Amino acid sequence: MPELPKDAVIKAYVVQGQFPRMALPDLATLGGCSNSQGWPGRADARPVTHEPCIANVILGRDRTIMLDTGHYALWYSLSGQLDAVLQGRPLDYVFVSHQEIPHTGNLGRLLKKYPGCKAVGDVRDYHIFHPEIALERLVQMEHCDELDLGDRRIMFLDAIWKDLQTTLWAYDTRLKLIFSADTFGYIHHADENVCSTMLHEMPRELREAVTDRPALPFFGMRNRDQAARVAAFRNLMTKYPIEIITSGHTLPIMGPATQPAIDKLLAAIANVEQLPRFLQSGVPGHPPDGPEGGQLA
Amino acid sequence: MNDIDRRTVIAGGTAAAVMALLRSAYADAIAATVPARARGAPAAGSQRAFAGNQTVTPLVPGRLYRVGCVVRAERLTWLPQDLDGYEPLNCYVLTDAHNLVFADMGAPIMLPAVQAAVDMLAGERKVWLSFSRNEADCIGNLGYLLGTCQGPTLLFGGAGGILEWINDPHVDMLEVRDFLGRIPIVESRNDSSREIGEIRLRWMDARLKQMLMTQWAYESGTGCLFTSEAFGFRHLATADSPVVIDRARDLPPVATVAREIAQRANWMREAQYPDYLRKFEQFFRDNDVRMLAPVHGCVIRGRDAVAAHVMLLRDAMRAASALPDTERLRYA
Repeated sequence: MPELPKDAVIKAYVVQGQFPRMALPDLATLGGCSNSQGWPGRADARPVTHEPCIANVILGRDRTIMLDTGHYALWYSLSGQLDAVLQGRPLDYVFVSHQEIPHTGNLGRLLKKYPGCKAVGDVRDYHIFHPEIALERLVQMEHCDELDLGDRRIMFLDAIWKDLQTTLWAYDTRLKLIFSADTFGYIHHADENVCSTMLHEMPRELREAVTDRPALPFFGMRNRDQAARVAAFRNLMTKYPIEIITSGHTLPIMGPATQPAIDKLLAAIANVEQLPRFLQSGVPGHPPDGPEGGQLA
Repeated sequence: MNDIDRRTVIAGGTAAAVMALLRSAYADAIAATVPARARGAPAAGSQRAFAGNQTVTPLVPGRLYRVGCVVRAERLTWLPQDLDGYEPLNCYVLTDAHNLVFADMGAPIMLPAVQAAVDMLAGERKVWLSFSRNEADCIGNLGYLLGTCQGPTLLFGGAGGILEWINDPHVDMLEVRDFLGRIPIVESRNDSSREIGEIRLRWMDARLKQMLMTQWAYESGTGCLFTSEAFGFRHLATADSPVVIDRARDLPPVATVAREIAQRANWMREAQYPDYLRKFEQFFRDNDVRMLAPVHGCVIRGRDAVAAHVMLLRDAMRAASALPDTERLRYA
């Protein structure tokens, strides 16, 4: 029976750099990386490839919110990272962008750690995944619903690109920040040593190399008109101006890096049929299995 | 009808009594008086979700079992909001004299049924675990099974560091102790097959899916196709309605099914996918499928019932293409 030798199993979460980071005084970035090529059981073990698994905490004047729960397997580190950024404040809300485990798998742990915290988002299905959670702590949000953090509102927006139907994005009206779940996610190599580095902090060549590897894990992208959806995103930006982008797989993109990153990704999506299939969700040179490539979280 | 289904223990009880008696251990603080329930509100005054009919039901005696529960058809993403009924949540167990294979492992709310399946069926059998998707409705009890069964082997055909997405049930939830390096893993890639004793499994790319890496599995001995979320469009009127459909009539309308599958596979709306439809039809021409086993909704059993539901789903997949793309329209 073919089994991967134990010494060939690649342990994930090989993070260089430090988490958490205070990207801004009111924006903390938490998390780490996952080895997106470290699939168990593979006969052909591949070089370590990093997939950032990121959560953000917005420290509003009166209330706090965490955007996604962080990857389930990072909890051993995330719990302490939360303590560090909250500095004794309670976590009031956790936004669950969609039900995928690397995005919201820590929900039960977070609600146990913070008894006053409520989950917000499209919270359908979570009661069968977390039957230990009182239903009143799962607060349903719809497109354009919002929360007041005192000095800003957090708006919930229907996502344009989704890997699960329930995906919502979140928008901070003060920071003009959009949390885009799986959109604007990037892969990096171990030797690039950029785990906790924001795009605008990277040398130009490295920034280009990283943004050449967008994670676009959305099944069916090639089957419908992406130019229309790119236009929809530009319309969204008109109504909700974007100065900072974060996602479950990106450190905050801000400053001079923001507009080039937007333009580059939208151009890639508009021409998605011209991309090699594996680039939709993998790393050039390492095409994963399956009809359209492998899947990222 | 069978000697395992727990409902037989309380045969004669009303649906409400069944639900009350089989209320999940998670449910507590039931209100003394239950006010009239608004649509979409939690049922029965519970502060927590609950499931009834946690059962292990033979589909092919001695070979194939449905393991699962029934929940109110509310707060579930794949269902229309106006559905007034109940929804089966399922996983499956295949057995021969020496082996037991889980085909998906269900959502955490159905843990009592999964525990019952292990208690009743595992014995000295070697346990194998196969799953269709890395989502909590399919692998929600994977940690429990890896942590409690004797020498389990994971059949892995997906992607991602799956063993890091779950936890050992014997450690506190605030700790992390994964199974990397401890669990034997056998690959089950698409278009591969494996004989596990008398159980003959073949895995393939799902012919209807939302998540990129979704597998169907076909077991030729029973003719059962494990379809993940596909074919999950038959629901229950009452909590104790049969979870197996063997009729080819009284089918829901194509438009209803189209809306429901696009609720899950949102990429189908305004999309063109002729190759996808061709592969779907070709699969059912090439394989003698006698049972459809989804992770939610009713099991569909018998060649005639299967054929009718395959045609219905094919027509619904065609119709879903004409549905409006609501995400695009929001920002038009």
